[in-house]
Formats: sequence, C-alpha cells, structure tokens
Amino acid sequence: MVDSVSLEVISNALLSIAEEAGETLVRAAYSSNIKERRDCSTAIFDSRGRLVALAQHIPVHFGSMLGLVQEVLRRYGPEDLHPGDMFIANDPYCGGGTHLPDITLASPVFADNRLVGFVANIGHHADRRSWATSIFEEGLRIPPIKLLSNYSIRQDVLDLVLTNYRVPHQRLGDLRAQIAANLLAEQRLLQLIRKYGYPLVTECMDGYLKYSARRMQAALQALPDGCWESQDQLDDDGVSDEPVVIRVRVMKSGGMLKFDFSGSSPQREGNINMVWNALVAMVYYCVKAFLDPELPQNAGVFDCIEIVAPPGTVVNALPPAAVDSRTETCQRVADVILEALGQARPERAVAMSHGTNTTINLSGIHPDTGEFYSYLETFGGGSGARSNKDGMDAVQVHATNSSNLPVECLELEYPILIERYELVPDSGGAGKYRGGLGLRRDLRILAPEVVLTGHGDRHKTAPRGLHGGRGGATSWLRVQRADGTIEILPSKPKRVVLRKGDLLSVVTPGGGGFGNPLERDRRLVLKDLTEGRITAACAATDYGLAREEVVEDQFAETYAKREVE
Amino acid sequence: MYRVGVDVGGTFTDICCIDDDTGELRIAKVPSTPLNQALGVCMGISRVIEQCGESSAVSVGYLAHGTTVATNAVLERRGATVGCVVTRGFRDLLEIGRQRRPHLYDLYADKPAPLVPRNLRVEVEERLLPSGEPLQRLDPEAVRSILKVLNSQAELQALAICLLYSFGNGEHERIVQRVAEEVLPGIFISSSHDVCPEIREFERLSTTCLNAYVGPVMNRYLRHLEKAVSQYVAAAPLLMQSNGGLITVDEACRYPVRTLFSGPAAGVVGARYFGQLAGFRSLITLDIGGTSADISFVQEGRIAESSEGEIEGWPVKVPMVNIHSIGAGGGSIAHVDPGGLLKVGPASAGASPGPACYGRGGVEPCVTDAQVVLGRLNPGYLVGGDLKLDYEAAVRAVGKIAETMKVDLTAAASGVISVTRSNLVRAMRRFLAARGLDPRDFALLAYGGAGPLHAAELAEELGISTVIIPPIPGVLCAFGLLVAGVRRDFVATSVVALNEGSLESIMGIYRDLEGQAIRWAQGQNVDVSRASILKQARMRYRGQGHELSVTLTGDLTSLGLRGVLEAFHREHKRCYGFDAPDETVEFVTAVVSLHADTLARPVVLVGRQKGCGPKERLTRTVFFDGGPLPCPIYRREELPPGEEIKEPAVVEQLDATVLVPPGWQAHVDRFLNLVLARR
Repeated sequence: MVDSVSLEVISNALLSIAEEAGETLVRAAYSSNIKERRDCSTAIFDSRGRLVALAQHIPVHFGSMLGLVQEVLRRYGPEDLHPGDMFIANDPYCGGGTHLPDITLASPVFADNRLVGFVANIGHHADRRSWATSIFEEGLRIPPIKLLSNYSIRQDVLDLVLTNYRVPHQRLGDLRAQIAANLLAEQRLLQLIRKYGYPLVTECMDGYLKYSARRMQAALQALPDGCWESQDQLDDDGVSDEPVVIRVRVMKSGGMLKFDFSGSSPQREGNINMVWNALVAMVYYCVKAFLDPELPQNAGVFDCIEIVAPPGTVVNALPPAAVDSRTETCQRVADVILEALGQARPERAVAMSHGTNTTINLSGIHPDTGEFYSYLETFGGGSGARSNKDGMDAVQVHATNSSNLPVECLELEYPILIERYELVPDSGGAGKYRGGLGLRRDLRILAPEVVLTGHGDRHKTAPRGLHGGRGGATSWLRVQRADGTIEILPSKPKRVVLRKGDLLSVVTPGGGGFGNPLERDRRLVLKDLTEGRITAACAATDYGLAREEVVEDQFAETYAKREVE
Repeated sequence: MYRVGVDVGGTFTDICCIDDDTGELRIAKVPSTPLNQALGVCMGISRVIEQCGESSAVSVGYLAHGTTVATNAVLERRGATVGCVVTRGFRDLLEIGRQRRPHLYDLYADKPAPLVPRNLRVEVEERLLPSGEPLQRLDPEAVRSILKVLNSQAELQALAICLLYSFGNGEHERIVQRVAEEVLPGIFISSSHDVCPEIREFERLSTTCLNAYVGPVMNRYLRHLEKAVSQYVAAAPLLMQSNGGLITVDEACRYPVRTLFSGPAAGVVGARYFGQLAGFRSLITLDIGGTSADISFVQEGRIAESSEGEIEGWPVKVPMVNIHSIGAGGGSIAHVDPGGLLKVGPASAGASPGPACYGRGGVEPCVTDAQVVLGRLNPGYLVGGDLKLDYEAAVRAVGKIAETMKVDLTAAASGVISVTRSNLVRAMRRFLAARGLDPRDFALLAYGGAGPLHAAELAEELGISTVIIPPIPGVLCAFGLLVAGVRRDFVATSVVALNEGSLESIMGIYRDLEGQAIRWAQGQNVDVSRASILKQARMRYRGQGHELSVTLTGDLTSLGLRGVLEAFHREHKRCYGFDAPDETVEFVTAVVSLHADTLARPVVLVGRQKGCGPKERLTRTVFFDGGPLPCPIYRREELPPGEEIKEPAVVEQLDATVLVPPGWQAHVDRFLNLVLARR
C-alpha cells in the first residue's frame, strides 16, 4: 500500500495538474462565459475511466465528468485508443453530458504504450438558447467522436461542429482553449510519471479513490441507520399546468447510503428533465455539502452510494426528453435530499432554499446600433435557515453560483434601465432562525420591442421551513405595461413581447425558516424590524412581538409607499 | 542623515535604518503593541537610533511606515458606524453584491455581515444614465431631510456616498457631500467619485464603504502617530499603500482603503530591490511567515499589479501589488484526516501559542516543529533574538503524528515538510498558470522567517534554477519601506469604442489626469524632476466582461490610434494566447500613476566581516529528502562577498535560516545576497 505522505503529495500533484489546466483553459478561452464566468471544469481519470481529480466551479459539471470517459470506454476498445486522440461529446443521453451547451473533450494518456488514464475538460458554449420540447430541437448532439487523431485536428469533424453554431469563431476559440488545456494536462501527467514512475502514480490514483471512499465512510459514521423521505413539487414544466413531483427516500444502513427517487413524476414535455448524470451530480453535491464539505471530488465516494431512479422519470429522463432548463429540477432535487438528510442529523439540517434557478433572457434589436442582442441573467434568492443561524439573503444556491451582471455594464450594453434591485421584506420564512430573503429586480424596457423567455419556479408552492419554521415567500413575475395595466406572467415565460415603457418585475422566493418563530431571540426580531427585513405586521403576527416593543424602521413608510406605486 | 522604515506585524514591529552617508544598515525588532501601534513604532525608532550611537533622532530625515491599523479594523470588525447614501432602488446593493455564496459546498458558511447595517443605508431620488446625463435630478432639500432622519438613527462616525454612474459624473455625489457637511458636521465622508471613480457599482460601493469604515480609526491613529514620532523624527512620516508606493499622512487619512494590503506590498518592493542588485529582473517572490505564504512576481523589473483585491469577502477596487496568499506558514498545523491522509494547514497555531517548539504552551505539531525535528532549525537557536526553541516539545508534538501514521519520528517530520511543499507548489503553479507564466523563466526570491528554509526545495520542484536569499529576509518589508518611492494613482472611467472619433476625448482624459498628478506632486513637495509618469489603459474587446491593463509608452499623440490598438492586441495575445484585430476595442479606464524616487542613491549594504572568512562552527545532522547528512552550519554574518558554499549546508542568521540542500550550491554576491544555484 502507498504511504500516506506519497499519497498526499501525488494526489495534490494530480489536483494541481487539473487546476493548472483549468487556469489555462480560462486564460485561453475566447467567450466571456468561460473567460469571466469560469463556466468550465478540468479533470483527470484513471485507466478504468474513474474520475480521480477535478478542478471545477460548477457543481453540476461533476456529473458530466463522471459520465464521459465511461461512455468513451464503452464505445472504443483498447485497440481504438491511441496517444494523440481527443474525443469530443456533449450529448446527455450518449455523450455523458447533462445538457448540450456543455462540450467535453477527453484524451487518453499513454506512458510507454501503457494507458495511464484520461485528461478531460468541459466548457460551456453559450451560443444558443432555444426553448424546445425534445432534445433534437435543442441543438447539435455529439456522441463521443475523435476530434483529434495523432495530435492533429480532424478538420471534417471540426467543420461539422462549427457549422452548427451562431458564432463559430467564438466556438473555435473556446475549443482551441479546451484542446490546449488537455494537451497541457497530458504533458504534466507524463512529467509526474517521469518523476515518480508509472507504478507509484497509478497506485496513487487508485489509492486516492480508496482514500476518498474511506473519508466518505468516516463521514457516514455520523449518520444513524435509518430511512428518511421527502417530497416536493415544481409548479409545472412550462407546457402543462400539472405539477412535477420530486420524491426521494434516503436509506442509511451500515456503510451504505441509498437514494431512491421512485415516485418522482414521469419525464415531461417541458425542458425541465434531468438525465442520470445530472442526478448523480446533485446527489454528490448534497452528500458533500451535508456530510463533509472537504470531501474529495472523485469517483471513490460512490463506493458506498447507491442511486435508484426509474428510467423515464423527470430525474432520469430518456430520449427524446428536452433538458435545457434542468437546473430548475436540480435545485429542487437538492432541496428534497437535504430535507431528508436533515431528519437524520437535525444539527446539520437546512430548511429549503429558494429552490429555483430563476433566469430571464431578453433579446431583440438594439435601437441604437441596429444589432441583435441577447441579455441573460440568473437570479439568486433566499437560502434556507440553519439549525443555529439564519439563511443567507439573496444568494445563488446548490447547483449554481453564477454572478449577476453589473448594472452599470448591462445598461450600457442593452436597452434596459434597472429601477430597483433589492431584498424583499418578509420573504424569509419566519422561524427561530429566519430564512434568507428573496430579491426583486425591476427592469424598464427602453427599446420598441423586446422578447422575454425564461424559467423559474415557486410561483405556487413555497420553500418549506423545518421544525416549526414557516415557509419562505413564493416568487412572481409580472409586467406593468406602459399604459399601467398589469399582467401576471407564468414562471416559465416563452416569447413574451415587451414594449418600450413596460416594467418587468422579477421576484425570487425566500428561504424556509428553522424552528418556532416565537423562540427567536427578541433582539434579532427587533434588529430585523429596525432594518426593515420584516414588517411590523410580521413581527406581531409571526414573531408575537408586542405592539409596544415595535420600533419601526424610520424609512419603512417611505419604502412602503413605493410598494403601492 | 538616516532613513527609517517601520513595519508593524502581528507579533513584531520591524525597523530598518540606513545611514545615507555610509550605507550602513541597522535592523531592530520590538514587540508590536496592538492596542496602540504608535507605541511600538516609537520604541522601535528609539531602539535603532541608539544602535546608531545617536542621542536623539533629529537626524532622521525620512520615515516610512507600514501599518495594519486599517486592515485589523476590517478583520476584527472594529470599524466606524457608517451611514450610506445610494441611488433610489439600490439600498440593498451592498448586501446583494454579486449574489454569489461564499462557499460552494459549505451549507453553514456565511456572507460577511454588511459594513453598513440596512437601516443606515438610505436612498436618494436621483438617476444618471450611462452617458452621465441626469434622468432625474437630485434635490438637495430632499437629501437634507433624509440625512436628518439618518442622523437620528445612530451616532454616525462616517458617511459613504455611492450613486450610479458617479465615475462619469460626480455632480450628484458632490451635492450630497455638501449637504452632509452641513447636516453632519465633522463626520468622515467617503464619496465614490473621489475614492474609486471606476465602473461597476458594487465594487465601487464596497470600496467606498470600506474607506468610510476604516476612515475614523485611521485618522485617529495617524494623527496620534504624527504627534508621537515628531518627538523623535524631523521628517513627516510617509505611509505605505497596497500599490507599493508611499503617500503622506494627509492622503492616507483621506484614502485609508489604499493601505489595506500595504505590509505585503512593501515586502515585494524590497524583494525587487535585492533581486535587481543580484542581477535578476524577473522574480517569483515568496514570503513565508507564521500563518501564511504570500506569492507574487516581478517581471522585467515591474512588480505584478492588480486593479482589484478582496478583504473578508469585500472587493477593494484600487491598484495594488498582485499578491496571492495561502494558509501555509511555520505555524500551520499538521494532522491526519479521517481518510488517513497527512494534511498540513490551513489551521495555524499562529504566533500565540505558536508551534510547540516555541514553548509558549502550543502542543499541536506545526511545520516549524518538523523543521526542528529534522535538524533544519537549530534547537538552541534564538528566534528574533529572544526565543530559544524547545527540541523536546517539538519531538512530542511531531511524535503524535508519527504515532497515528505508525512511522518513525523523522519520517513523520519529513512527511509534514513534503506535504507543505506540495501545497506551496500547487498554489504557485496555479497562480502563475493563470497569468500564463512559466516558473522556469524566473528566479525565486524567498524571505520571511520561513521562506529561506523551503526555497531551494521548492525551486527544485518548480524547475527554477536560481534562488536568492536577501541579506535581511526577516525584515524585508521594513526594508522595502526604505526604498519605495512616493506614488499616487489617478483614474478616470469613460466607456467608449476606441476609434479615430474617440481618440481625442481619450487624450483629453489623460491630459487631465496628468495635470492632476503634477499639481498633486507640487502640492506634496515632491521633486517633480525625479518623478516619472506611467500611463495605463484598461481596455477590452466589446462584449468581454473584464478589462486588460495595457501600459502606454510614449505620449498618445505619437502613439496614435494604431499604436494604442496594437498595444492592446499584443497584450491580449501575450496574456491570453490570442487576439482579435477585427473586433471593436472598448476603452474603459485611464490610469495615470505618478512615481517619485525618494532615494538619493542606491542603498549599498556594507559587508560586515570583510575578509575574515567563514568559520565552520559546528556540524549537525540534517534530514533531507534523501535521508540524514552531516551538515556544516554557517553564520550568515560571517560570510563575506564572494564566499562559496558547498552542498549540503545550513546558513543561520538572526532572522532566518537558509537551507542549501543536496544538488545546490551557494555563493555570496557583492551585495550580500546569498545566491543558490542548482548544480
């Protein structure tokens, strides 16, 4: 067995390679989505296709990484793998991916004709966004095929790929960066082998997976044996009004942890379906977040995890289900898993968070330039309250952690004026510990015609609280037309036309509360009241604050008046 | 005349003093006085003046100071009660920020508590458009009544004002400021168009609020300090900024946010100085102290810069030395994790209780304890002159690791060092890779108490063939203060497509900034003839979300549109590996930096033991990666210029220990640098 110092030093070196490749990818990338939002990941796999080391910024990428190399090995025998090969894939059903914009490149690495493992990376190619009801309409599907052979690009394959995108030169720039990152990772891995030798490095890959399994086992010790359930629903899938049920049963028995999603809704026509790899990523996210935030990100942790999800359900969709807005479902899957796990260890529990990935896309022709533009923004909301403290106000949770665009930059670029960007009072679920507040953004349309498409959820059901904590507030989306009429929009608006002078208001949900609100520290209730995070009415009814205790926010009246406007 | 640099750290206040006439350098360390840093500063100055044989300090003609007062106020949340004025609709901008959570996986992590509580953040009815034109004008009377209500909410000590697009048009902020001066007399005011006239509302707001948050604390400290040192020193003190340059007390009082990262910045300035003396213009600098390691670099003589940093999760948008800090230092604690792997840090025993071998009650096995066990550090040695290391305590601490790992003591200690090294290598590789740099193109300059112990072995891993250990590695920050010049950055933001049509207005911006810079220099009694002006432009391809800083050499008229565009394409290609000459380039921010040397002539350290040669006092067994070797021990101050040292060896000095591992040899250059070269 490898000694613990060599294992730490070499696993650190493997992570270092993944990180260096990641920095190279970001640096050389062309599109701002990869360059500035760092929407990419890099990884190293062993010769059996098991993920060993991952440098990532987006939790859901973990699933695509797990799936890809397995898929390559399933399709290509040892005789088909050669030094200088590089595979490209993006398909959720046969390419290991979770949605089409994530393009993965993977290369086998050989030392003296022996397969050491694979290096791979994912880049999110934010080229197109279309609302569709089948995977065939969502974009180009790529199964694992060779983009490089003997270290040279296969021009025919590249042409096929580039032909399918709107901004091919950006795609080419990003793909080149991805290729460069893999080549660098290959070089570094070979250097590592020259320094420590093939046997020690491969032994350490295996050892690191075993270590991760041990660490996972150690984390599992903190859970009692038992079975815990949770169920929740999405408002709809954007096509029919029927709610989408997500159900999980978590079973811990000895050294095994089983997640059973039986009872979740059949897959839907709307594009909120998750494929298997996305589900695995969310299970992993929850296990790491709940049991051990420092858990290594590799395949070793799955030695003691079993996932059951009937094929053809919304959490394990089959082709041709559309998947583009899968993050809506991902967020809810995380909420229900965490709620179930929270029953096992209440001191680590978290109430439900805002549970959506509220996204709007405004596009049209810019009146000043005459050019087409497309403005995409995702919104945070309240995070769930915790066993010993409040939830966070207005943050991204679970599957995503993307930044907003600076107002001063987006107004410069798009015909939009942001009129308010603020926390929503009373939106955090009341509790001994309060849920985080949702946020509100008002956007005034300055162009003659703008098309709105987007997705969100929680218009109908609120994020639940825990142990007597109340639910967070629901969300809403509406447009106040220039003539003053108000239209309530659905959570998943499709091609809604907005016109000059219209005001679009986006409000995201708050997080659930934790514990009985009457037990909340009075000083915290008063602080929330003074700071306008709760209103006097809420302080009295939810928190039982006596009228004479109420010290109003001096500005509450001003802000309340505005609400009426 | 004497020049004095005083750098306040967590444990010690370091003083460097140079005699301008003879070039003789004296150093001193006194305990820091956290409650009032000025006490330690004065104590240190008088200590070093005594060493010079002077009865009073009136002959000190230059005093430069690096302080952590502002930094500590943020870290310990002991800043002022601040009110904040923002544009209607943006009361919560400070809290929403970029809406990212602090930790991807830790469900119990928290965002930093807001610097200004929500009830002290008020909105005023006003709105500017991206062009700077008002959509809604500000009514001063409305401001007056809002500020009165705000004043009734709390005893405000400072006010931050940040309105949308004020970087382009500061008129509304100036109105708020004027009203505030009437309604809230004597209050510290921080206006974003003055403190940080840059695009991106959240980063500007955060910087402005931080400035207000530390303003009153820094003002109290600096005014007190000024008075206290005037008994000793004729010269008015200068303050180090995060950009590696000095400013006056008045300026530091107005813009304290610029001093938040001043200590590490001074270190890099000192590192560049010795690196250049040794003949190396491109350096990776590595400062390893008790709790952390600071990594930076110098490329072709220029210190790495960044336009933005972060403290406690708050963005700080001011030009600064680009330093990456990781939790790996002498006090980092080793442990075996639940999966059975040996891990080091980021938890640290810090300075108190410190590593077990300090004998101050620490029992956790630290990196320094492992060094003692391996014979790399002299157990009889005096740390900072007054602390004897306790070998037995180190053995007991590291023994706990050995027991858990079921290996012998030295294997455990070696393991701790190997893991520490791999952590450092990983951080350094990542930092350099993000900037497209190859470590092999650099020399490594190591300092801080623990840097010289790790340097050669780190260099080995990174493929670096030269390591430089400056003569005074333990007080390099204080030394940096002696050789840093005065510097002030002037910035202006105006987002325009760069073309023939806009060039004239951009040139106007630079003319204006240069005018400001020169007027400022005259006002500060800076010798303008010794000043140099550096022009930078932050630009991007349209559609990119971040700008790239490009240095503009020569004046804009002769550079012309083509020159500016080419400079940008070239820099983009250098940094990111590609350029896009066909795409529209946007000009975003103009930066004019005025830099003035304060040094009349180069500091030349005087060799202390000319010609007397090294005496090998003793030999001890030191454990290297390959196993134990008998190792001669040298005293640094006994090594004259030109001396060659063969592997393996240990060189000890008052403030650090240098390791010359197998495969390396060392020589002393004529500036007393110890230069290690790979064989």
